Amino acid sequence: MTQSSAPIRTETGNVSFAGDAGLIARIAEREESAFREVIEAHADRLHRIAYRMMGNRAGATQDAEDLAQEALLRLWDCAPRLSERAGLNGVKLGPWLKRVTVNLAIDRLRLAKRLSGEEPPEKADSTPLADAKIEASEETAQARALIANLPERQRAAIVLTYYEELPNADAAGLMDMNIKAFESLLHRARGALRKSFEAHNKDNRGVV
Amino acid sequence: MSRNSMPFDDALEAVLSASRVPALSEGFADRVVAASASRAAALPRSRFVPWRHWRGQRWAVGVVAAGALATGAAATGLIDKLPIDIPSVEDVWEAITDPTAETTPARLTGPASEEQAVSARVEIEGAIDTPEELEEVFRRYDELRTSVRDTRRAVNDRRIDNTIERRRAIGLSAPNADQEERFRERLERYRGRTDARIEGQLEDRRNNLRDDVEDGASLSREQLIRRQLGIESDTPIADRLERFRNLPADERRARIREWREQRQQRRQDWQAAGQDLADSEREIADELVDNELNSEPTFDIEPPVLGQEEAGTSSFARPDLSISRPITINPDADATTPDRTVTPLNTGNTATERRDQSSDLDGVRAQDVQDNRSVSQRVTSSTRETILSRERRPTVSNGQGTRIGSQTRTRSGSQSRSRGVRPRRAQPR
Repeated sequence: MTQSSAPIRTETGNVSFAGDAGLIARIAEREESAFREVIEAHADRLHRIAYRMMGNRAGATQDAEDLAQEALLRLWDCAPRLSERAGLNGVKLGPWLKRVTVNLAIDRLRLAKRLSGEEPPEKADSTPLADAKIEASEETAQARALIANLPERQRAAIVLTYYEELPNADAAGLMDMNIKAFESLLHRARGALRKSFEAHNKDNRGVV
Repeated sequence: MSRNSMPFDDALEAVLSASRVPALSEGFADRVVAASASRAAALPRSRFVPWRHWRGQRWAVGVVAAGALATGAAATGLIDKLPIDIPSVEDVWEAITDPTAETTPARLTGPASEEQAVSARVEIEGAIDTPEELEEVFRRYDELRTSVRDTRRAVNDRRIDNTIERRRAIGLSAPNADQEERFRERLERYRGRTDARIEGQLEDRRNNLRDDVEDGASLSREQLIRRQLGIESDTPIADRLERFRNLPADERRARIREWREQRQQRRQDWQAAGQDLADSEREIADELVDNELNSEPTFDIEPPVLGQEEAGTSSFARPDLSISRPITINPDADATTPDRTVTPLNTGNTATERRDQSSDLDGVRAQDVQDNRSVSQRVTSSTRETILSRERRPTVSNGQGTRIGSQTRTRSGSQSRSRGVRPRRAQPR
């Protein structure tokens, strides 16, 4: 993402603030180029987070794209309101979009759980996954299965801190949690992940 | 937190690191931009305002309402103690439904009504030089005088009612129905006489003023206001009291003596004509307790009577307070005024009477050397008057005269000292 500090002249001729505030202001004025600029800067990361949050569910790739798209469209909708707050609180686009994506993913998982009436599978699904490229790697499937065994919030904590390499404080802010509570959540997530991995290894050894 | 800081073992680390994320499909950005075009408009801003949902607002409203109610209740309680006349419900209803009450002024007919209508339209400009303006002045003066007079009489009536009610409340003697009716009649007679006298004086003066106006004289405001009379001769009436205070002592005493003689003469004239001796309504009201009540005692409570054996226990004989005959007191040594007879039970409670009483006592001191027995008797009677006028305790007759309880006597003695009159101990008989 371009982080220029100079004022940005919008398509309508108005001078806006630099950086994220300027982008938000331009999006608030429905400037398509600014929106496209944000998409190019943040779409990949949002997609990664959404994909890992979706786990090994069928159609996870499509769901991840939907979530990333929905998060970006939320920015489009909320840009006027964010533009008003940008000058005061210095709204950062990156954390805001990640937070929206995580929340959307958690909502999607909970909704799917309610609709299906089934618990997330504790074991790796033996059926072939949708994406053949990803399913080609057994380790990848195992990793997704381990992540998928975690509850939603623990899963989000692992994704944000391990895969996205965010500091605990930032990840706690994204999840709207106290740092202590987030570290406790992360500790439980690691323990659950370790237990799941050991259980998976035992099963594999028993099978062999 | 970096990936390296995650405390995973190598095997788990390797598995987790093997996770790959597929790339976004081509045209993702275009799809998002296209979706934004068909995106519904943003929702309007929420109308939720935090401070409007503050629960303390209810408490604040409640506290303010309770305070207003408490203030109103307290003010209602104070109304009874303030000199405010609040009509009762019956009075208000009577005023509303009274068919005799004037609702719409009737059409003015007749000479008197026409005269009133004309006088009501008269406007006084500058000096008063026409009969119409003079009559308008008289009318306005009568309105004011009538208003003041009615107010004063209402105050006096209320004061009398309060006195009677208070005496009844604390158990003292109060006039019965006959006494009260007699007193009211006396008060009305006095008022009628006063009105007649004042109206007579007014009419004489007005006739003089009418004659002056008919002769072409112009009357100024200063000439009509009695307060300003005499200002041309540097002796305005308003400064009369101040001039009296500035007189030398001898001349002032002479003026006082002269005034007393005039008053005494006036009273004698009134008494000969069978009229009331009071100088004012206030005096009549003050004499209500003294004269009307003591003439016919109606006691409900028997006060303690000083017994004979109790009186004998004291080393000093108590003064005999029983008085069965009028006592004559000569106020002045030169005896220029006739002797004044003071009836023992007719205690002067007004300021005038008290001044007379003080003068009487001064006269008693002057004759102290001449007649000890007379002095003791007079002082005893003066003390007795003081006791009755101040304490107004119920008295009873034990067949040997009127007596007062010993407690009353002790308190009355201290009060007499406070007024500069030291009650003297009577010689034992």
